[in-house]
Amino acid sequence: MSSGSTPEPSKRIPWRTLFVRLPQLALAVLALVLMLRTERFFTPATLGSILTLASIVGVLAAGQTFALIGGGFDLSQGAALALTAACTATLAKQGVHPVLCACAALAVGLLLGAINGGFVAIVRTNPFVTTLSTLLVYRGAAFLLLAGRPITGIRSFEPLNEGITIAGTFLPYRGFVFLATAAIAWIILRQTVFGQYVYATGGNAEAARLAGVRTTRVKILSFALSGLAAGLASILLLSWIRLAKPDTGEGYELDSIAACVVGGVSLQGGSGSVLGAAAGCLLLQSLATLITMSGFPDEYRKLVTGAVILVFAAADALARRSERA
Amino acid sequence: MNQPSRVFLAISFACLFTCGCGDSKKPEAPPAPGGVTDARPVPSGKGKRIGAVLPMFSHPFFVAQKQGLEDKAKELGYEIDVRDGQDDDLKQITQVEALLNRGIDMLILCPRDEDALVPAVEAANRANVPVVTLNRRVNGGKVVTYVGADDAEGGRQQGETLAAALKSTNGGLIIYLQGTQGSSPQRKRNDGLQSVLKQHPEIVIADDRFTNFSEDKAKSIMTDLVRRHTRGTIRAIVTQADELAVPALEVARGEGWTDTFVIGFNGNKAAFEEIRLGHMLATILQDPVKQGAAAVSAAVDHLNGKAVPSDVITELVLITKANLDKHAPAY
Repeated sequence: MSSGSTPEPSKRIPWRTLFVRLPQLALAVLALVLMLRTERFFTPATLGSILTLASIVGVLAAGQTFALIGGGFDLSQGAALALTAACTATLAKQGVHPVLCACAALAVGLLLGAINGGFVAIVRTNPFVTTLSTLLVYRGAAFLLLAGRPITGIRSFEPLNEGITIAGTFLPYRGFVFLATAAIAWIILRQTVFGQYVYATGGNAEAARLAGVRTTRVKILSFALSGLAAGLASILLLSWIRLAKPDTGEGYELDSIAACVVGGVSLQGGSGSVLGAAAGCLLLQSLATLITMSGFPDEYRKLVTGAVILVFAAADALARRSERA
Repeated sequence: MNQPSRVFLAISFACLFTCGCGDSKKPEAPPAPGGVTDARPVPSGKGKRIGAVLPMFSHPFFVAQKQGLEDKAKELGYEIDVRDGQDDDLKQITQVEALLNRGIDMLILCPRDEDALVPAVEAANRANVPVVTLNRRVNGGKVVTYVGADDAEGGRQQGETLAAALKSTNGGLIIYLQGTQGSSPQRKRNDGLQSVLKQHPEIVIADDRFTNFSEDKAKSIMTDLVRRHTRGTIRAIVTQADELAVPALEVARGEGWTDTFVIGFNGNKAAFEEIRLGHMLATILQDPVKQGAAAVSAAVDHLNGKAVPSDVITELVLITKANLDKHAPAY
């Protein structure tokens, strides 16, 4: 059906596509106008802080892209982030070397993701139900591990929170970690055989299986990578706020899914790009910062954010429909 | 197939970032009205901007606090921008950073968490924007002053009221409904109450539950607890907020627990009404409007170079049927 790897049918100027994409275009232009009218928005400091602030959800979105393109859905990311943060913080407090702590965070994240993948691919539970359940399990485990109390004063990952100053603008390394993650994820999805398998499995699992793709393994891996992203995000989080709490990252799974939707990643599986998801994440963070900086009342924040996501999703759906016709 | 959408995003972001760089080369280019940081304007209130970030707008307490902040700033002739932390530590830090980027002369921060918001205070310190913490303290960074009540003191007042009420029955079993597990008001109010209970071993907590400070959670937990304990065994229900006390009270009375004492916290309208009717024993009134106003006053004093004490403690008042008419509900 919709597969990102098939070549475009023609190279003519896609007027029709442009027309169908009008809502998105209008929104992007509108956002740009608002940004230009907002005092001090287009400064390197503000843009740098947008990049940094988007980094945690951005890393999650990169992982979420794998789950979505592979035909899955990961609702447990926020909870997995909290649980890995709790595990890592516990280790860090016991004086374990920061590098080992980081490895542990990534390993725990990978494991939590693989558990999701195992259920979806082997037991064949629905991805939504599976990750909704593990969301509760992981969140509950984080509560138990921390006994409801935050672990504070974690200094292990502080170097990540430092950064470089370019032309008077301070850029923490977290922003670069986000960009690097997006780039690596893009390479994996676009330039490797595994990446092609993920698209094929998400597009049509049965066809992919008949073509010789080991879809079970691909599915497990795509969820595991989503978990790995949660592990990496937990390191960024600990470097930034230096504490782990049971309610850390609540609702971040929805932010990461929203970033993917705005970035044009299909929830049906098989199409989309991690660069789109990263751009979607930056766009949503810009919107959040814009609302604050323009003095726009915060009471409208949820409504506006939801409307923006809906416009992107609707434009995407319309575009798909006209392409198929 | 997603090429076009990606192209649009790419273009919009290319514009976004290139424009940003363009601006950076000639920072004096746009004659922005009153926003440029250097050349600070005349020392009157005009042109100075106070930024404030509250933990959430979804709780009436903070809605009232926002009102207090805005009204006082208006009265003193300062511009104020109050922002919503969206009940999330990271989002609250994000809001602080956005305000700092926008350019503010003073920050009033009511942190959602005392530890998690340290980076926000540090960011303000880096930007040389003085910080006033409101309602909750912050465990790091440089802060000019703290304005707010002492939650532990409120917990002690609850404990003493409880002990006095249970004197005639020589103590007994109580239910304790706490707020959000690990949050600063939960911990402080609990510490205060426990410090009194330590001296009263005859008062035993039969059930101790967390409710996230939400009415529906309190009501559903209480519905289970009235099944667990038979009528007449529980002498009192102590809660960390009136939002928990009033729903718990409704459930308890529905089961005929009419002689169970209920103690709340915050002093909202519903609690005042229940105390008036004699259904509820007491609540601890903390006035968010006054707290907000006091924070703005402290911030303005600091901006005008006046010395500000390191702690501005706003009072907590124990409200019972006896003094109910002398006070107005907080919200």
